[in-house]
Amino acid sequence: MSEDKTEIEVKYDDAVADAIAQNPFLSVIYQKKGFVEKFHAFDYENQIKAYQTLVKLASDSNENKQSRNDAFYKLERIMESIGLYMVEQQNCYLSKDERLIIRMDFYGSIDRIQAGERKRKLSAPYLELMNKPCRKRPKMRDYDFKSSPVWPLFARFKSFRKIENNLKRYLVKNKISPEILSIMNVRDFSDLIVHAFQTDDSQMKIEFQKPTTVRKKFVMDLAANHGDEIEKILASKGYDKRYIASMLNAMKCFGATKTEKLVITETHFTQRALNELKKHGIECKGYKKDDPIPQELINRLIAEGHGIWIAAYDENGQRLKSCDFPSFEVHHKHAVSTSGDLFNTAAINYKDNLCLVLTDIHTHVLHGMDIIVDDKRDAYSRRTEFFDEDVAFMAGFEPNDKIYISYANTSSRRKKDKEDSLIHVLYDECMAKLYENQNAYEMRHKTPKQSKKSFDVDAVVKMVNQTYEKKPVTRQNLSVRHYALVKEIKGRRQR
Amino acid sequence: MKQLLKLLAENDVLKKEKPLESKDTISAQKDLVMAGFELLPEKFIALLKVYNGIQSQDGAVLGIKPENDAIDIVRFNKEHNRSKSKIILGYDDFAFLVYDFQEKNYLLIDRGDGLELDDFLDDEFTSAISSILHF
Repeated sequence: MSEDKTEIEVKYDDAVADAIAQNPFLSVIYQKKGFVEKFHAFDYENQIKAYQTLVKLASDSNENKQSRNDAFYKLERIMESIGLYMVEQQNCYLSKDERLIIRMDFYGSIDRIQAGERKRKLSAPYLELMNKPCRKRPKMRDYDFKSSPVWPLFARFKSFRKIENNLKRYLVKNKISPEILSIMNVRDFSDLIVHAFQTDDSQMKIEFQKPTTVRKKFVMDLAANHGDEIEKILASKGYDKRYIASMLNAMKCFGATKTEKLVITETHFTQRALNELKKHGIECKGYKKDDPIPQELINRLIAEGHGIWIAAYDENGQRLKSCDFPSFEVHHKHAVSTSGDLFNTAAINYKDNLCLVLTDIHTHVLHGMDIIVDDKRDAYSRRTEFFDEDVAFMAGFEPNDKIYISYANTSSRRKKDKEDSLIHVLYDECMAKLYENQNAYEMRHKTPKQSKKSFDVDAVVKMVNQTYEKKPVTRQNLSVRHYALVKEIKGRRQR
Repeated sequence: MKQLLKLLAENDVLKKEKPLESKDTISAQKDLVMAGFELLPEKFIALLKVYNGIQSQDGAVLGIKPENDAIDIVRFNKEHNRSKSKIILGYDDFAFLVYDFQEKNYLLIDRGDGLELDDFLDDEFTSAISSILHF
């Protein structure tokens, strides 16, 4: 916290005083001392505005250096007071393929690669073998996923290990040659998963995690086990109790975090709700106005799309609009992009690395410094981290607005970690082996030459450059040197 | 595009904003040009003319002065974009969906460090939008 504990009386010139009168949050920007206390004295909305303004001033190259430094200093002090700090972007590079796998594991869904140009993402030998069934149907045991150079990158995640048999069944059913596993790249595997789980040809995406996804499960578990605490926090911030109950219920039942499609329902029967239910033939004898509405009835009506019959209204007879209430988002406390330093890559999506936060905090505070779309590569430099890694829920900037859960020390976490750590592979070694297999396949079958992008060129260039600092390797000459160099790279990750 | 609109119309999980009005298109394009960007891709404008911003549980397609200010393309780009050769069209927890004016393609860019995760050609617009909305 700030060193200044006493109320500071500040005198501004007229122009500044006017600006502050119109936008009170500006006092945090102009006040030299006591700005941290000032920040915490504001309501949430003004706190967000003050924070955003400081981020803008600290990163705006049009501002003079002194203003930028002042803003940066204030930002750091305020962050400190809310349990956050900035770190320079770390250089624990993770390949594009590995990030895509993490993305698939987290969202539990995979984009379908449809006919047309997008097929360029798939390797030629894969497409060839998928379209050339064997004469004799192979057996399940003929498909040895361990023999695949790339599958271990997926198999580090439990959600992919669980579907191995689904993939085998698809391959058997379609008489696909078992040889296919040895030449498939990451995109090919994601395409195979789509084929194996697709139920309808019009699907753009398939969900392969049953019964629910990693992301949704985190939200559902958090709401189920810590619902009372979440309710207390949101109530302390003055939100309507019917919004709180509806939001929590949506979290528990569906892992939902956004309010856009949320139907805010009454928690107790109103005359209007009783009339609506009666009108639609819903049995509610025995219930009278002000009785609590049974949760089963609320859930049944929502599931059937009739939540509107018991929708909540304000004292003016207006329906409560869900978009007037805050949404939440799931945040990765340890950045996916820098998770190359993790011994167990799967841990990036463990619930101890996830945090449910208000959308505004997620966008403007936790990702406030993400100005990453830049013409200069690597322009991004900072990331916001929590001092306390156990933060699992954050609905404001005060200590009581957070929930801390120590998932990392639970026995289930340790077990999961142990299981996932058993499969330890290095991306570059997988790719070198894949390249070797694909070359051998081409020699045998004389298929068209593989695209140079069938492996992650950027990742390899970066690794090679790090290893051979004095002799930088460019993308252009990489194709010539790639194979020999990759084989020489050992122990990319520093442990 | 027809397929995308059909899929979006059938989807009742996504929150879809009202269609974009022509006057707002012109003023937003003007704002973007003033801020140094080029004109938005035609397909994206065509989408906004049906749904001016779309939100899913995990992500969003930005709109032009939509009801929800948080997904306004001008505001969002002012906050998160320093490039003039690319524009952010949408986002999810992991990535930004970006249009590259020079290459005339769509890119999925890691929010953490700007690494290009995927690229979509102009005729892969449906896949590009789907990649960010998770529908």
